[in-house]
Amino acid sequence: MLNTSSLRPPDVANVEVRLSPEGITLLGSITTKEPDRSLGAFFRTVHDAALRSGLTELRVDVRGLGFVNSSAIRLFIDWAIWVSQPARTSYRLRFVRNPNVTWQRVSFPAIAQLAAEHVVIDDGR
Amino acid sequence: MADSPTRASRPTARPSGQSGQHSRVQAPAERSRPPAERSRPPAEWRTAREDVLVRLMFTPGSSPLEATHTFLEAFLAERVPPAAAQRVCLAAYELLSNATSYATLGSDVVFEIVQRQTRVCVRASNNTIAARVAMLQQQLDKIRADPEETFVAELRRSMTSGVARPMLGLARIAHEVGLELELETSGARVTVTALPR
Repeated sequence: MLNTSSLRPPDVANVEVRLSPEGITLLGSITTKEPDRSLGAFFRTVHDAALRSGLTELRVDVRGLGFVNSSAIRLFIDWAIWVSQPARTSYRLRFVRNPNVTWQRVSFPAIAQLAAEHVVIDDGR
Repeated sequence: MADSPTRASRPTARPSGQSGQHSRVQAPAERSRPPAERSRPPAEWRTAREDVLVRLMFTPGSSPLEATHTFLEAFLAERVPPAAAQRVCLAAYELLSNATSYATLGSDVVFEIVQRQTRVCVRASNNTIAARVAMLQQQLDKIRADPEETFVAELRRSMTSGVARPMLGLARIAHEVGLELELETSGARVTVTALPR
């Protein structure tokens, strides 16, 4: 289980971040021009917490993200890279997507290709 | 945002290519057509009367993206089907992001959403330097060659590059939401239009 007690979701316009022992849920739209400074930094703390907790899997539910800009797509790429770094004992990153949302349907298969052994795409119900 | 939403009509659409160089990135469906069909005149709607639904002006380097996106989502929700709104919002964000990032100082960035018959197009224009125009043309040529391959290649480059990837946004417009991209230049003025197939 993810220890969420030390995690503080960032205050980002149009985005809601929910924490759970299984991972995080993102809702809204990521439109900020430099999301790496806020959301990206937060994702990194979640990643580090997952490593400390010895998780085998972390769930990132993006079904409620209706829009993301290109800079935000890069955040998910970064996360896929983090979990696939060979020197680390890492976890499986499960992106729960809604295939009816165009950006989620198109982007996540490509992201999964970048880190196939460590990233799972889940068409959540 | 300098202007509130406006609705004005133009007597005719801007004649493509009349004011400068003009090129178009074709959608996959069009590229797959035989050459004889590809060279046929554009569909009637392309030269139809154009209604400007939104016209906004920005200064170079401004940060209008979040507010504009919020406005457009609400504006389009009342006027076009959800799928079309999704396409237009993505194209609007990415075109405006590039236009405000690469515009030269002292010139306005003009952003428009226009309707020709039932089709909605997105247009952003700005002044920029010649090198940027050349780079933009190269980027659109790559997208024209293969939108999906360009999209995936840009994702891969994002893994290794620390700089912003303006081409990823353009590739998303062509691949993710299937819009065509047209480039028009007139001197230092460059206009990129995203339009339906």
